Amino acid sequence: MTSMSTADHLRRSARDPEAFAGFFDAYFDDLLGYLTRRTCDAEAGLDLTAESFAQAYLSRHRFRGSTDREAAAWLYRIAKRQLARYFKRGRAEREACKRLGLERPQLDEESERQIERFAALDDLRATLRVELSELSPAHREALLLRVVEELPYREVGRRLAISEPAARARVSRALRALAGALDRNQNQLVEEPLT
Amino acid sequence: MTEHPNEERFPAVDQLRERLRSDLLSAARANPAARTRFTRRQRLAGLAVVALMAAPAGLAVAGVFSSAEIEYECPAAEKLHEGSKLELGAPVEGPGAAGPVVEEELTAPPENPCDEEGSARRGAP
Repeated sequence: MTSMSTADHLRRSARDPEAFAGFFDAYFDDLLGYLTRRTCDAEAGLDLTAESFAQAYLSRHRFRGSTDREAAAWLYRIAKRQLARYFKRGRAEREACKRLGLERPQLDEESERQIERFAALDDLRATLRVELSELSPAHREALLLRVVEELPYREVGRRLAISEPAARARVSRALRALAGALDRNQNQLVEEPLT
Repeated sequence: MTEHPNEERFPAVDQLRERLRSDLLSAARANPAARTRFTRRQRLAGLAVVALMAAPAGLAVAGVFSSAEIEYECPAAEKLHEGSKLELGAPVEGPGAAGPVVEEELTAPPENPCDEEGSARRGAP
């Protein structure tokens, strides 16, 4: 029996939705790790992963590639678009999940910790401490409180005397400004399809 | 993904993967024909094409190209010699009229004084 490639799974899912499972399993771990590192937030990483796969499912008819590399690049393009919106608005969109009636699984504290270890956020935090000097004082402080001290957004907002959405937006902009540093720390497997 | 040298396991990640995949496939079964809506950019592009096609037709229907107040040709130009006895072409009689055709007699061609000189210069006898 010949094994199907992820591109095959994705193409086939256009007529057989069950085939999408093969595509999902192949990229879930990488995408969750990538998005968690880029947002420095396990919950946001999972939200964006769920939304990216929901978007990919809804758009699966548009995939025209034939190789695994093209399938991965296609998925990461969707994920990057979601990430850009997250940075712009300070929260993950849930449009595709809502259309599918898909609920993101709730995260308990232990699950969050595991995702953070899985995404090696500790290493990333160490890198960020060095890169923080590149930021304006307001953004640096917001990022320090959220990412390094790991405070919830409500507490970040309280300490900076701004609203919670404003705190989210400030942290998002700071992370976007440090995208270069974050990208340098991405695993090659994740970044390869995007180059 | 990030490498984990000790092959550390993350059961929570495994559970999340299982759960999300299961939910996604259930949703897929419930909505087998679900697709993305057109994006805002695609909708705008579609509108632009429709507007581009419809605009000239709309203007024509509105009569913009056939206004009674606009004369595209001078009506007097066609009537300039109307009613006069002028006719196009050469006159049949009088000055300028075509005369009878007279054939010329065939005569010997005139001598060319240059011929001999030219031959001598080329070394002819």
